[in-house]
Amino acid sequence: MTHDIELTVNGVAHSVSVEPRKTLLSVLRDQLHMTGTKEGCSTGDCGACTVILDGKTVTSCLVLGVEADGSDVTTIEGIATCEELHPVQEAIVEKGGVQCGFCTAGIIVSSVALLNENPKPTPDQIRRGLAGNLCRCTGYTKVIEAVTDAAKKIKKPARRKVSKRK
Amino acid sequence: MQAFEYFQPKTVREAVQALHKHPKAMVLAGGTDLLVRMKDRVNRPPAVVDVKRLPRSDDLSYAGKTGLHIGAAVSMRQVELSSVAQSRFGAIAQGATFVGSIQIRNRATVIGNVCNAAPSADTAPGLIVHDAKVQIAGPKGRRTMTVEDFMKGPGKNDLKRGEFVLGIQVPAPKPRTGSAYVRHTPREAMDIAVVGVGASVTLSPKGICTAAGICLGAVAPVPLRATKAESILVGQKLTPGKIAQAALVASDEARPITDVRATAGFRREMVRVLTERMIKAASRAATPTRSRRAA
Amino acid sequence: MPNPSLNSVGKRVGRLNGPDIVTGRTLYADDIQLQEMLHGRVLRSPHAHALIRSIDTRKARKLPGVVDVITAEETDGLSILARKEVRYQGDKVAVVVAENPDIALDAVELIEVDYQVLGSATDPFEGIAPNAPVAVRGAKNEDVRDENGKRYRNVAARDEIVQGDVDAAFAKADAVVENIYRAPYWHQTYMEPNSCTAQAQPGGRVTLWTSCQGSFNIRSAVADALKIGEGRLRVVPLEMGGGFGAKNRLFCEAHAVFASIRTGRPVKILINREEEFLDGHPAPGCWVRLKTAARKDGSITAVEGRILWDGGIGGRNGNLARLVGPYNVPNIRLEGFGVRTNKPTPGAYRAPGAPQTAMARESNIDALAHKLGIDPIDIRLKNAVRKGDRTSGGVTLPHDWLANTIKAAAKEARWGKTGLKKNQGMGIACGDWQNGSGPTNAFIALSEDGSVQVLTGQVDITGLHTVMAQIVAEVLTVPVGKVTVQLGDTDKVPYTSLSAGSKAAYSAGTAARKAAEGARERLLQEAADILEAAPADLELKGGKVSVIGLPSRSVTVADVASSAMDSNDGPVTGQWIVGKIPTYPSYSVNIATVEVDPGTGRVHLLDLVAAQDVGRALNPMLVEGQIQGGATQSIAYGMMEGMIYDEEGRVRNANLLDYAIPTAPDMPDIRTVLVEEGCEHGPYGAKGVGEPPIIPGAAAVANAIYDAVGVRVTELPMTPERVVAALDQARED
Repeated sequence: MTHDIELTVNGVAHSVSVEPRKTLLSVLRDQLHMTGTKEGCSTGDCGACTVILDGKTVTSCLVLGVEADGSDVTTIEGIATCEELHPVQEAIVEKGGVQCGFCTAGIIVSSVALLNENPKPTPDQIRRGLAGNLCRCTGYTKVIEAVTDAAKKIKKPARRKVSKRK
Repeated sequence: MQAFEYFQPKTVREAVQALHKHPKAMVLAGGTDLLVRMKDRVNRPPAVVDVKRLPRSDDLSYAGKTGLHIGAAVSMRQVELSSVAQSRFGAIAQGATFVGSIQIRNRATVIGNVCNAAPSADTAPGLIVHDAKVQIAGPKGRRTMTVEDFMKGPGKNDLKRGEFVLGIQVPAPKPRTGSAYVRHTPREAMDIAVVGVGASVTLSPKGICTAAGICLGAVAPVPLRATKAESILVGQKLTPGKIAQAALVASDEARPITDVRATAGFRREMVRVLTERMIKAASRAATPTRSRRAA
Repeated sequence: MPNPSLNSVGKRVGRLNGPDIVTGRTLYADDIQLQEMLHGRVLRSPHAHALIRSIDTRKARKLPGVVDVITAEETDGLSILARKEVRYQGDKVAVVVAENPDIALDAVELIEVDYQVLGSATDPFEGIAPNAPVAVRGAKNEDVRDENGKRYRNVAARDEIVQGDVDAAFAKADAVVENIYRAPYWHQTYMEPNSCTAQAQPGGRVTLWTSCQGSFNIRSAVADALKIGEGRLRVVPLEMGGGFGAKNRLFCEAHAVFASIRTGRPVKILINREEEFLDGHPAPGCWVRLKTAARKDGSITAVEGRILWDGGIGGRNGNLARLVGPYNVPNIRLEGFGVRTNKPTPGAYRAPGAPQTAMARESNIDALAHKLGIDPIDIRLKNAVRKGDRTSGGVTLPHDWLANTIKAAAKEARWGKTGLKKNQGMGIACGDWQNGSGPTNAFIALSEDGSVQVLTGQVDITGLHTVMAQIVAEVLTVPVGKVTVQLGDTDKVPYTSLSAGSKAAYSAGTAARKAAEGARERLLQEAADILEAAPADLELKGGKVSVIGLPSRSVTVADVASSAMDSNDGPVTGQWIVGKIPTYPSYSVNIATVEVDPGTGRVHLLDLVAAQDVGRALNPMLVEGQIQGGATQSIAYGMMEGMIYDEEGRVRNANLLDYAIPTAPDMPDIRTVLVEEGCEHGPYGAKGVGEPPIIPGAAAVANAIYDAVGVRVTELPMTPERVVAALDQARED
């Protein structure tokens, strides 16, 4: 039996018919064909599938699609505007915070949420904030450097871009 | 996951009815444990009852008379960030903070942690040393019982057919009470407690311990209250010697097993080390300081 | 140190495909979604070793949505599924193909297999005992005997190194250290679980999209497994979500191709994280007994010992010379066994075998230094291979690369000059790796606007294509942003070997440089016509070709490229196809600073200096990133990682909660030191950089723990429990 749900993804409303056993991750990837969000473990341990659900980061592999009925979802595809990258995205590229790139979507979504809550985090706060996003390639040094750098840039005029997204 | 029916009751009555009608249904709150087990097909519920849209289920509030109320869908993250939880129920707030990642804590609930009844549940020792009670709704009305009695064994709780936990009530601590929780894990985060220890102490104005709670996680089928160790502290000044003695007794009270995470012997030793540290941390938290007052 | 005469090479250029990755646009293997696509899931053995009495697939076939169920019986003599014997937990028994993944999983559960469980060998030390269970029935093993003349079990391979007079050296030694070390199976734990999709086409060809480190290797392996011609297959490699050596080999590619041919529809097979642990290609564990002798002056005089590699069902052996490492040791007697155990055959994991052996070797050297009262840095400098020495890999060293790297690490870490507190300690360890090389290629074409398109068959594992673009930009004197690099599939480019063994940038970088030089020659030739000058009188600089000494007589690269389109010789292009090029070893040195909590045994890594002799860093930012990542993996093997098998040979930690890899709060910032003394064979002096970083970390932590609390932990990972046990043992002694 399927349920008809409505959810807003990156500002666009969608109506989807979902089986209860489909996760939000599966709805995004397989039904809405937004494959930027990755599945690394399916048990909530790696954070590759992180999205923002009603303002809070969640591992979308541990949320049922039906639970997200009526919700607002932001995925990696909704972080940049058409014109420009979000400062976190820009810094991840410029500072070498991406290697294989498979954890990157989750790291960026978590970092954007972290900076929305705490615009001036210490490196230790960034490390704690990204504890749920495993990265195997970088050893985290350049990821932390990138997020620190992005925070500095956001404090200046780019603020507007961040607050525009919910 | 095996296919299942999904219910999303809007009232307590509807929830009880759904659970009663489907005896093998499981309650879904945060889903961070349940969905993992369903994916592994360890749990195969034919129906799932989501309690997150019940009225006021995300209510986390504090009143001087009744204490702290934790609703059925209150997340670990809410407790972690709650200033009243941090200041008056340190062991509970610290326990919530240890769980998973921010993403997990945004979903995982305190009540789910208690209902899943893992011996390693990070919020359980704090709730138990604070004498928390679960409020249960069911076909025969409501009932309450202590968290300690509610957790029956690994994965087992006291819920009967049609029942679910509506909230947890934690009494307001007496003045000069402090509590703390810590766990041992090989990693800094994203881990399961090898051993967890929660402790609370209440001090008289002269610094005598008038009440003490010590609860040990992951060293028995349920979070275990170390009553003999507690009694060593009550009526005493908490000298390093007394604290070390209580910690040693607590390690004797533990009933650990050997598993993939650690041997029984190591767990027992960790109980001693961490109990000593947590009694000290709780008694520091119980000692009023200017900065803590200001907070 | 960046070379001031270079404009693009040596610069900190961000990944060219970075914007696509960070916006979620880059396609990874599991992102392939095709019309009418079916989903395959694998039924795996729950036992480490068993005979299959019967398989009943009737219920599974009847489930609505199931399209096909494949067992060995359906494979017509191929060996892609277990027929009579399952040899490890996770061994593939059947594949279900269904309309969606959930149905496939429902059907997997409906297959009934009757097993007769057999004894299993899960530990190499116990596995060689003459009365141990046979790991793989009918497998060919070596006839090796114990001291009583009884034949060892399960020894698939044996080798030895005997050199000098070991017994005499031990008799004359001033200090001898002997320890037994153990290391577990170690999983690469790339973040991307394997996924592949095959689409059989009318006419018999099959396209396969997969995550791999080399499309041609996958093509050969699938063709081999299915006994079909390679020409029937087109393998399209996608952006790879980490491999570290594991994705050199097949996962379920052959099964997907086979299922697609049978069903006539596209078939995707995704391997979940648990399956990755059960049936991946992790690094082998080992048991090592190592005895090392030295003289008073610190010179190492002899190494003697035995290593038993936990070799899985293949009984894979390792490189014995790694127990000697990058040191001059005159007397050697070593013996190595590849032992069959009921586990998947180990694969490559960054510098295969080197971290495990470095743990034993570097711990023993450290212990000798302490026994003799010599600084751990000095004992390494004393014995390090030097300029003019011949390495075990057979090359004569042109520089003091190792010694200089040790000195650079010591300087950065302020070795001997930092005030360490109680329970804090510092440890050093070294590693060496001679990078590989192999067939690769680069094809360059210039567009009319002067932009440059590069095509290569070399899979990009962490920035190779960006480095190739930098090299091409350097040669053609255009901005890096004007260069794009595309990865060709097996239908589009010639045979290209794996991106593995620190080969990619070294070999494909050389191809890029040579191809670009060819394009430059064409550019000058074409410009000569336009400028009416001899090519020899022209120079290419800043994107312009001009007559030497007459800068006003010039033409832009874009103009030349555009004009060439209508010339007799056609567009400006360049290409280079290369086979093997000679290589040198490179060296890595880690200095770890730790604090040990003596109560809980928790080891906190406070600081890590990772120095590496990289020849020249083509892109220092990417090189640092590889070093930091490799060092983190090694540190993690030291402190928390390892697959845990129970007595029945079942994996007890087949998920990312119980198989702990470091989280961000577990790691400090890793300080890298790039030692740049150019290597004559690599592009612009570069050496391969991917493998060396993973070698010394675990050993450096072991030596730091000793420095902090005076105990030596000899089993990986050095968990809190093992540290506490070592401290308890020391108290008893």
